[in-house]
Amino acid sequence: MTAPLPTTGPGSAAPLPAVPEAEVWAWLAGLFTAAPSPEAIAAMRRGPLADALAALALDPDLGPGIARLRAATATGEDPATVAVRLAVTFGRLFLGIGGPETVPPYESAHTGSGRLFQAPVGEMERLMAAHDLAVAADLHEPADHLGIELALMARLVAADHPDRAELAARLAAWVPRFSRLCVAHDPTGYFGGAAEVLAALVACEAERPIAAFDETK
Amino acid sequence: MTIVSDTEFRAELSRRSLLRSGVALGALGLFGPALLAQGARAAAPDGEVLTGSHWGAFRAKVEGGRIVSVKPWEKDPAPSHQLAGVLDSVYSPTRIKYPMVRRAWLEKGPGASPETRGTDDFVRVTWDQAIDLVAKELVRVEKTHGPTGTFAGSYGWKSPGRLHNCQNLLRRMMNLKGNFVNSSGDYSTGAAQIIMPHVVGTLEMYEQQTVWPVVVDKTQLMVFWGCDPMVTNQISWTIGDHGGYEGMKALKAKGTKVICIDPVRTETCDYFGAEWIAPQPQTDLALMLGIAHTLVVEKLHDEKFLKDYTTGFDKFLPYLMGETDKTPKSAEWAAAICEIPADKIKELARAFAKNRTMLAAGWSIQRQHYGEQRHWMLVTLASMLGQIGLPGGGFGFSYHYANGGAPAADAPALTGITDGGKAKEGAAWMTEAGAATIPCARFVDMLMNPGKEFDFNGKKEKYPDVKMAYWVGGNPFVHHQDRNRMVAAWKKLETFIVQDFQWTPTARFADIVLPATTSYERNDIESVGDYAGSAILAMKKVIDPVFESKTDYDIFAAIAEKLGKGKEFTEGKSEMDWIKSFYEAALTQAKAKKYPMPDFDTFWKGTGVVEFAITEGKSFVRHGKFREDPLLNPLGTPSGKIEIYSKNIEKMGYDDCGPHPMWMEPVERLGGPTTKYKLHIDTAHPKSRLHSQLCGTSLRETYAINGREPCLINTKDAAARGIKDGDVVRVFNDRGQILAGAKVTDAIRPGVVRVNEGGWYDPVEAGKPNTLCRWGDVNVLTVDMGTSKLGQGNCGHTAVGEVEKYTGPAVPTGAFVAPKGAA
Repeated sequence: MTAPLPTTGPGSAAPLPAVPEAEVWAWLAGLFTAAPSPEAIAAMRRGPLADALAALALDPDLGPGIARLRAATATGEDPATVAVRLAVTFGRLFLGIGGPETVPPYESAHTGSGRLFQAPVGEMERLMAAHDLAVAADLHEPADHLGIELALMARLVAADHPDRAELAARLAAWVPRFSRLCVAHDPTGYFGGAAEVLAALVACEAERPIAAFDETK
Repeated sequence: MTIVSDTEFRAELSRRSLLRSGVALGALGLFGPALLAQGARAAAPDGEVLTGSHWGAFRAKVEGGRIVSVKPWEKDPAPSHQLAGVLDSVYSPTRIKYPMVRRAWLEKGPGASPETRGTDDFVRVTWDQAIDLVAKELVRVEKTHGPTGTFAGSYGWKSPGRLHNCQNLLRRMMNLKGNFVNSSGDYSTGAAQIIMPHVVGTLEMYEQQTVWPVVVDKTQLMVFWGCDPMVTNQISWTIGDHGGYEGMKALKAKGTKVICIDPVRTETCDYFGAEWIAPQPQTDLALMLGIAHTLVVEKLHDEKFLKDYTTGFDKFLPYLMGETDKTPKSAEWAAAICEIPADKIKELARAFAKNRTMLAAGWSIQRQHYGEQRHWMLVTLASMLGQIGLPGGGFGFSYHYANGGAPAADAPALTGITDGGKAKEGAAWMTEAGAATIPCARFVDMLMNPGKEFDFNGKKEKYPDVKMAYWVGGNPFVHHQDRNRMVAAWKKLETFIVQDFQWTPTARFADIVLPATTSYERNDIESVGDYAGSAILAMKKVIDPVFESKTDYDIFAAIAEKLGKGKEFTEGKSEMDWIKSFYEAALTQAKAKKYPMPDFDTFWKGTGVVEFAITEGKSFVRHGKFREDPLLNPLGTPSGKIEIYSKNIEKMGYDDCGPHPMWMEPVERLGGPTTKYKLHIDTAHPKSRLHSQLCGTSLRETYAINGREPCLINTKDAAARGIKDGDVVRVFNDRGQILAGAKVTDAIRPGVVRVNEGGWYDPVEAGKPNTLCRWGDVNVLTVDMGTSKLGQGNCGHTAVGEVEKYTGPAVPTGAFVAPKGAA
């Protein structure tokens, strides 16, 4: 996938907006950090966010995941009802509530013995420190949380910084596995769909030719 | 463009969106709070920290503020393989990250939709909100339902540490709040600890027995009766010293004859190459009676010892010989019940009498219906052998537990934070706090029968009407019997608060969940070796609390503060002030007794451990002083002697506990006259957990079969049921059903299967009666009743059932399995 996206889609009356790549990364970061509120669910059905999702749905790589995710929100039920369902699933998958059913959203868990807080935490801390960044203090999460890695990716993509290649490789090493587990164990399809989108995005990013960094830009 | 601050980043995104389409598409990226902050944080220091756990002392290597590895303390003679699991648990994906409240409880109030407990529908709240909710609810329940409205007996194995003793801290807060219902006893020795004071005048169960060096020197026949010390000595209530392994190693080297009486050919049996005797489960009492009868018939019993050191044998003898009930408890009679051939029983009697014999009994034999009878009869049998108080002879009830028998060091006692209640006679940890107390295993009976009278150790008491429970440091949704009965009874509670560091099955059934730290995210102090007391160790904080967890002390102090009792709770002391006070109290003792011990700063800032010498402890013989002079050193019984017949118990008039040991048919047993199921379910302690602790760790991969708790099954029983090694099986009875992974072996006798206790309850449909447990929580199948009116202990080893190959729809366990082949 490359930006810019097509501005028209099949069957659409109005031109669909282009979605900057950095935004997609940032959006996914938030998605794996907290369950969606009823307002967020409503916004996914109608409004600028819904339009953005419609645009993304046209992308051949991201489309399938977006479709799965939208289907989970477009059930015709009250947004509050959907939000509760997704909150329960979020807790089971990502907060450890599911006990052995957890799909940990941490790089450490998927590249090591299953433990959290392993070497990837230190590596991410160093990468962030190089950009004078740290995990937000009130988040209380280790630096290898998926949301953190994606939030940093969003920044690097927005700045088109060469470090984006290193982070892309890092993500490519664990996101595919994480994504498969999400798809397999999310009965709602929301997080599974998001994980599919993420996996496709990571794959595309990994295939990007590494451009030389132009200091003069 | 360089990486910029968060505000600038978001503004930039917005700007770009506007340039593209004229529409503010920041909608995509602007949901949720900022995840990154400007300004890199200082790197946390590296180092190595010595600390301790139930599994022993260890050194944690820290890099960048994270534990990267652990290694056993170099002075540990037999480190436990479970240490790797300890690190897994600290960094477990099932850590409770933030305070959470069950949605229905939060939105509709206490008691709302109790049937939704266990369905994982939680809402995150802040600590301030959580403390506020807890404090308000504690006050409301006491106001509305009175002093016995809240249960804070909170049983469980928690973590070692004298300050962050979470159960004392809970009750300390409760005592300041007002009143609560407490619990007494434990699930380990529930029946035995009640009968033993009647028989030998002391608790006995947690008191030092004849030490290993004396056993190695003098014992000629070592009998492990219903215990597996090679497995269970890995853990200790305080910090494991593992001195028992040194003792067993020496015993093995000596070549002493060892017999293991157990339905399973245990690790201990294999270690010693011992003779394996496998009676029917729950029939050990009959076996003991058959041996006793043989001793009398062959005139091998020690009449002088019985006369000088015991009372009541003359009243017990007619029962034994069949004069009272026309049933002599002969070897033949016993053989019909326990399935050990009569000749073998007689052989055992002769061997016990001929040799200097140590009867090392475990606690499984009393964790059964009529459990009180077993240890009573064991002491009676030992009395008939006449070797009690002789070096290497008699009985010992803790060789399998916390390394009992490891020689005790000359060490001061280490105190800890108290709950504010009056100290009680008995073990140092007993206090008399609470407006009411129930035997700890009768919790579900209490919920189901408020106001009902019950018997307990000669007293009549009433079950209080409890509406709220606060559990800390325990996992009752794994350790308590008859899970389905428990789940149904739990609906009665209006509020259930759980404080823990992991999403245990108990936490999942809570209304308010509070994340506590592990021992390694806080400072504490503890002794090494429950019986040995060989050292005092600084449990120094290794890492900062992860996620939003707080120490138990801080949580309860915050609740106390909210209740207006903060100063009373903390006494103005910080964490380190408390730790120092415990150490200095011990130091005062040490100085008086001239045990070398440095001052606190030298201790804490230096090596962090002070070891004590072992002198007299090396030659300790249990009841040696009593034997030497029973008049000068009487036992604490009414007669001052061992009571084979107890007048006190006779006065109680219980139909399930008579005045002397006697055989009674348990409510169900393999081969029992009214028992329909064909298999006994052995629920022994696991090898790679401490009960349920460490169930969620990588250790599971070393024993799980087909992703589930193993079920040992004899080759004949498996063949008869078409079960092959590795099959998923359904283990069931009238109380419930679980899945397990079959391990077909002849290391277990026919008619018995084993599913270790401690497997995490994982219901397919939480709250639904008789739902299938996916992982294999064996307490779905056990009986929930008191051992008898005397002890009211738990019957965790009373369970019969059936096993079949599972042919139902696929039921996967666990979404997450660590990548294979990773470090």
